[in-house]
Amino acid sequence: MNIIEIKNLKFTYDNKEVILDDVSLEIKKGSYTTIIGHNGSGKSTLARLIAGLLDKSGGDIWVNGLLLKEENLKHIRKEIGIVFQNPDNQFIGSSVKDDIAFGLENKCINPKEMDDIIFKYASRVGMENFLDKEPHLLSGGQKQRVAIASVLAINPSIIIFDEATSMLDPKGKKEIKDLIKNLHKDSDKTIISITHDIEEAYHSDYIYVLNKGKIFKKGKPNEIFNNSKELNNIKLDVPFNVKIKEELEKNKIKIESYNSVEEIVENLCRLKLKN
Amino acid sequence: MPIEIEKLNFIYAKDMPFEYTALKDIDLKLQDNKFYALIGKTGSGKSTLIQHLNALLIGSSGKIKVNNFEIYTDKKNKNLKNLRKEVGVVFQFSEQQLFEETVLKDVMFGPLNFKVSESEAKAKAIKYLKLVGIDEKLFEKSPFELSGGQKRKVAIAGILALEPQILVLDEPTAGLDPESAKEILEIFFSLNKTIILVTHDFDLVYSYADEVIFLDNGNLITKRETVDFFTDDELISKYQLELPSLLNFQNKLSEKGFSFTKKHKNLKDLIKEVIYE
Ligand SMILES: Nc1ncnc2c1ncn2[C@@H]1O[C@H](COP(=O)(O)OP(=O)(O)OP(=O)(O)O)[C@@H](O)[C@H]1O
Ligand SMILES: Nc1ncnc2c1ncn2[C@@H]1O[C@H](COP(=O)(O)OP(=O)(O)OP(=O)(O)O)[C@@H](O)[C@H]1O
Ligand SMILES: [Mg+2]
Ligand SMILES: [Mg+2]
Repeated sequence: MNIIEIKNLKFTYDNKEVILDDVSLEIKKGSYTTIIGHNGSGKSTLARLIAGLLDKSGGDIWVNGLLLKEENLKHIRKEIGIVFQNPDNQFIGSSVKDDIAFGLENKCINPKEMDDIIFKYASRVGMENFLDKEPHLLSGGQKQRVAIASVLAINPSIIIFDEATSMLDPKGKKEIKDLIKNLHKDSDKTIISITHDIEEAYHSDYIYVLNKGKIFKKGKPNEIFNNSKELNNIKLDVPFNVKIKEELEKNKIKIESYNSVEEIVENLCRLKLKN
Repeated sequence: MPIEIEKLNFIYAKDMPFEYTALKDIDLKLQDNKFYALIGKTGSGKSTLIQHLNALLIGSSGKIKVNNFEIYTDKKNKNLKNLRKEVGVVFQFSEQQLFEETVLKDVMFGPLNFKVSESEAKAKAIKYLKLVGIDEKLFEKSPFELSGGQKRKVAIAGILALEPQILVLDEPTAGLDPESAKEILEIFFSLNKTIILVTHDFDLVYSYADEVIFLDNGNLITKRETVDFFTDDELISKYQLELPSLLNFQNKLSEKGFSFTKKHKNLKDLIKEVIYE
């Protein structure tokens, strides 16, 4: 089932420049979809349109079977959580605790339970020791962690992450990415991740590639990342394992499978033994 | 004219309930025209440290010398403006600091502030905006009407336009598309100035940095040559650091019996040696 369907979406901020041009896409319920594209290609604009934060100029958006329009807005906004590209734009509370609590307040949760929920989500992102701190006084990576916790706590069925882990250290990034992955596996949440992290896109279920406001390509990771020239032309790149594969091909060496660096090393070993 | 830091300590919210020591006895000497990568996990003190280099933060104790400037921790500092012309800092989330009416004016602000003439400031702004890949179409737009990555590029152009001798960059490539990230790094690299790059992208560190400065929990753990750093197995496992993709690949090949004459800095050379060894 498609939890999000977009048909012929058009958008302009100023009635002059077309930012999104005839964008159609479908997102399956419970899937992990990534959206990639060059700076200014329209990714964040698309996210804001899906979340009902901007008004489309043309086309239609359905969320969970409901057409996105004034009457349905309240309902749709409840289903969607969005972690913005810049965490500072998202903070509302004067402490980490308040910030996580904010989204919960209109959910009729009794105050006793509230503290448990706040603690649970803060610990999930490793920020349980910062509950009383002011969000603006955190380090860059700490801010991103809190921004993620605050949205997770609301427990929406669709979560859009807009470059939400760009400032995390490699180990922290892995942990948070695993957290997001498990979330979508365990609770059937739909994850849409806007990212410049090619390795993340490579490990998602489905990818949409935006280029100058248009869908350039869509498909499974192996279909998207099979040609570095094509992607380089639109300012994108391929994962490291695909780079190795292409470099080997330039040297007239073909290997059967290249899904990971380990697999490539195994393949090269076998070739070496043969010679 | 190097940078010398001696026994630098920094405490946030001193004598308040949330007092926090973010830098502990940092000793660091940096040479001219080298490319340094400053790394360390979330909250380790990287952004705090770099803000000392242009005296935006003043240490609780210790000594800092940048070129001919001495930054005192115990008395009033003069001439900070001149220091800030020599040390250009692109902050983390720098895209938030844009404030002028138009993109062009925003980049001109820095040079004008340092008494460069209007026309020269404009010429510099145009030059550096183009260099970082901002299309002329965007020059008259409000910086608030740009995408995240476009804003970041404008912020970087704003610092480049000051033409400082020392460039300090806090996560400049986070949020940039892969091609733009590469282009921006190439720009820094080709300037042949002292560069201090804060980043979590170890692939970039491995291909561009001469040396790595590694912070953990406010302590300076080590500063050394890049390949040296990433091949210190004990250190890497103690701090659970990831390896750069290229080095990781080479290590895995070595484990399986491939031999190499050196640690390669690009994939092409590595593959050549695998095939024609
Ligand atoms: N203005 C502030 N007031 C109080 N504490 C602060 C302030 N800024 C940072 N800190 C704290 O000091 C520590 C170091 O922060 P810093 O921003 O230097 O980390 P960082 O290494 O740059 O991390 P990141 O990679 O996440 O950006 C963190 O624990 C942070 O919470
Ligand atoms: N508020 C605004 N008013 C006018 N134009 C805007 C506004 N916000 C964005 N734009 C323009 O719309 C285009 C798409 O911007 P968007 O923020 O959606 O890009 P993006 O794909 O998210 O890029 P990035 O990777 O840099 O975050 C850009 O060319 C940008 O300049
Ligand atoms: Mg964006
Ligand atoms: Mg920082």
